[in-house]
Amino acid sequence: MAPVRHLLVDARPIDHPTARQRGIGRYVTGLLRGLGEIDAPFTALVGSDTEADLLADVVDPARIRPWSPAAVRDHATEGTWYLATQLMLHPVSLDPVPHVVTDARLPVAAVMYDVIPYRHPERYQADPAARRLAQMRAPLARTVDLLLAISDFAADTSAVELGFERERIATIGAGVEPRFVPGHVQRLPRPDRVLPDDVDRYVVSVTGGDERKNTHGLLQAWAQVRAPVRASHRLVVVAAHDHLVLRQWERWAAEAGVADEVVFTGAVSDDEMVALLQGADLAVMPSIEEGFGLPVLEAAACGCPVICSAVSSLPEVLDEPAACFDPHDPGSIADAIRRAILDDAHRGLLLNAGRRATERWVWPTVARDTMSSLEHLGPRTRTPPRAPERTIALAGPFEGSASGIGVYDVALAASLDRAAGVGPFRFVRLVDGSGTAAPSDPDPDRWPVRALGRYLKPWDFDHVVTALGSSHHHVATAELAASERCHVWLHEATLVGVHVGLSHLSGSPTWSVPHMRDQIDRCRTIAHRRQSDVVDAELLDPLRLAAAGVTLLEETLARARSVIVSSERAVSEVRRIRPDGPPALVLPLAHPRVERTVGLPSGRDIVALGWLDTNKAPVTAVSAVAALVEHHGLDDVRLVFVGEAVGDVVDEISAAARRLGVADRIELVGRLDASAYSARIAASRVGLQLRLIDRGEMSAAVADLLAHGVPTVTNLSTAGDPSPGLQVVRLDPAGLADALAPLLVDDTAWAEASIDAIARAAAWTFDDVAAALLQWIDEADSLAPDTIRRVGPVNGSSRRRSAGRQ
Amino acid sequence: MLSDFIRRLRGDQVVANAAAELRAEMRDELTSMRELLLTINHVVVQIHEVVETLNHDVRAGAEPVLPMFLGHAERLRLDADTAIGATQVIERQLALLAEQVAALDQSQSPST
Repeated sequence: MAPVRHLLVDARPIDHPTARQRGIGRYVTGLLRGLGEIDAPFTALVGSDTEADLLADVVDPARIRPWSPAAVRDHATEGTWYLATQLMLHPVSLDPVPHVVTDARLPVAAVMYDVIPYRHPERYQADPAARRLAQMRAPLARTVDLLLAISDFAADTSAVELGFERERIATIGAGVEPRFVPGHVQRLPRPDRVLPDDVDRYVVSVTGGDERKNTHGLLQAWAQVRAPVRASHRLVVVAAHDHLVLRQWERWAAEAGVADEVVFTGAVSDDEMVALLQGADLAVMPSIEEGFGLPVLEAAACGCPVICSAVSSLPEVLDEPAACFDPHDPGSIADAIRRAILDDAHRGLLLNAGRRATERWVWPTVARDTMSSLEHLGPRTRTPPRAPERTIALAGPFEGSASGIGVYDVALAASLDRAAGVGPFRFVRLVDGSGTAAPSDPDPDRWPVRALGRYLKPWDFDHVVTALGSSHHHVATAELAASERCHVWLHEATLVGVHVGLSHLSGSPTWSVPHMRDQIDRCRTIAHRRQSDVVDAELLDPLRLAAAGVTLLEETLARARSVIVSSERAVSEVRRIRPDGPPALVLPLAHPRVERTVGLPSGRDIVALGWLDTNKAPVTAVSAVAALVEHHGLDDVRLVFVGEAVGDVVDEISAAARRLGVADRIELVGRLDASAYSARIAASRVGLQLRLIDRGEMSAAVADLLAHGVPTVTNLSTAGDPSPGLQVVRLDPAGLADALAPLLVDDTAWAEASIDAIARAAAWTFDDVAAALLQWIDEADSLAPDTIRRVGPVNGSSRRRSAGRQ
Repeated sequence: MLSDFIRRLRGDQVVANAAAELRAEMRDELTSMRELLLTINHVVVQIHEVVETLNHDVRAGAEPVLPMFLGHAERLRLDADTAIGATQVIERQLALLAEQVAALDQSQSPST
């Protein structure tokens, strides 16, 4: 005897992709109901909100937890079992025994429904893909500690087909849902949708399209039932079917000469099923093989006399030999139907058998048998469980990406690596962009972002942080953030650039316009709010979309576990879109650690860094240079643009420079590698970072410049309190020139500003941001959804910082 | 009698050494199998990305072949899923094997 202290039950099948709330989904719901009723110590692990909602009426919500390493870690102690409920379900990639369970070394029991695909391979393994799945399930089954079969028949056949030790298979049975009650307890209305008006008395049979359900044998048997019964009764066949199956059944009925006596209902609702069973004079289960045979029990529970096949598990369910027939012999089925309809004494015997079955097969008994089987059979080995590691993933672009956020993520990841080195967690990079995780260089801590949802599962991670910008370099990360519950880090409070960028990449208006329209429509639906109408021609213009208030953030924010932004302006935008949450953290951008800060440069170069488009106001910057030449006499000043140029911006800059007579003062050097980028900054005297439309994003370029000790001028509202090292001015050429001039000509003023820039950068580093991020993701789940927390340096030039001002 | 004991002791030592070598080999095998799994998983994800890219390209530019391409893409996706399932099974088997090796190590260590 090994006491069971806790049971972790996989509740994902209750909303299974193929079974939904039928079949195995219904079984798992019932089992959880039974465990609740006997007050067993268990946790139901769900994979989605839908599953949690479905379960909320069945078990105490306190017992429901989302799948996560934490849910397993909290119970990774001696006496805890994991109950796999979808070991034999298609497809295996649904992850029936997640890694974290194996990592925790928990003993595993698996519910065994049936091995029908192995017993009838010609029918169920004809497709090579189905055969491969069947081949891999058997070895997986052999890795578990014990099997809990739903019938002795399932137990016996599993032992043979899977090569599993029979002595480690227990039978736990099944139960019936509480909704299946006799008419005298609660009579449901006649199901007129599926039962024609002229049908009065009828025999019901719940079958299916599979050959083993024996619908053909049933129709042949009905033809052999004697006339008085057929004159007074119709045969009602209840089963979901496609049109091919229906056509075949109708042909069989016609061949048997009973076409006018049979009703095929198609799929029915739960209430319709109960009503059909309550109103029937007899239920027939002609199946040739079942794992259990729930329809027998459901019919009995509704007070309907029931007869069934004398093979597979069915005689276990209905323990009355007189109620059984040979399913391979239509004559035997016909005799059983006739006797059950016409012989009152026999009907009494069938009703008694049904009552015994409904008393025997109840969910609390299944739950008790489950717990006692685990206790008596115990784990195969006595290896003590261990707590699985906390695992945190950062998803986004990294090395090699043209996105500036890639550079940022690399630096942040280095800090997180250092933190993981001293803290008890594992850090994983999920890389957005092809070519960054080549198959020839596998690394267990670096995966393509699209691996999540494929090979990696959301429940492999305690936290996934998605670092998002607004360009096509973030497409896969944006998809992840929209589909899974992540901590969404918005470097810009918009995703318009992601989708516009993807649309441009497609090169096809026939694809991109509907894509953009679809994105906008989806956001309207989710947020229940109306955005400004945008005509098709404007759908690919980010500035027009921004002006119309389109951000495409609604869907992502609705799913987010928390949101992280870099400024007050951005958090206001997030709350405008979704006022009631999720919890938000204002986390200013970090300043990089640089090898060497600049000395006083010999030249008078102004540098503008980053992705170069019209929103960076390059023409205004050129005008400011012209003003420096004309009004401040600085004819040796130069403006250097560093970064990839987009669209027609180069032509615009060239035209403006020629018009203002400063063409020889402007230089565009394109995108530089890391060392050339750093050298270019070091050779510059002043930085100039501008925006036409400021959506509350902070500028990594500003952070780079300050960290190098380069005084910077900007119009960004998020820059923080102005200081000598970081001057914040309006977007006006003359004003910009007035701010730039002293830094270009006065060496003392420059030196003071450079020292201030370095101090600002040192006050908020990547290590600070990593620490704040780790603290936030651990606490976010416990915060009220409308929480806004602010962290960062107390003021722009101070070394002190707040750990968490709310 | 003493020489018998020494012979037996030497024999036991030989067996123990062989077992230790075997365990070391098993550990190496486990490591190389894990590396292989990582490679397979990375390839599977790469296949998925290629399918998605092709899917996008075909939708954008080659309408007439779309139905056939989608059929092939779905087939490829299912095969990738099957491969993923296979690696999950192998990973669990490997983890259990590794535990067995660790338990053997512990039972053979001098302190026990």
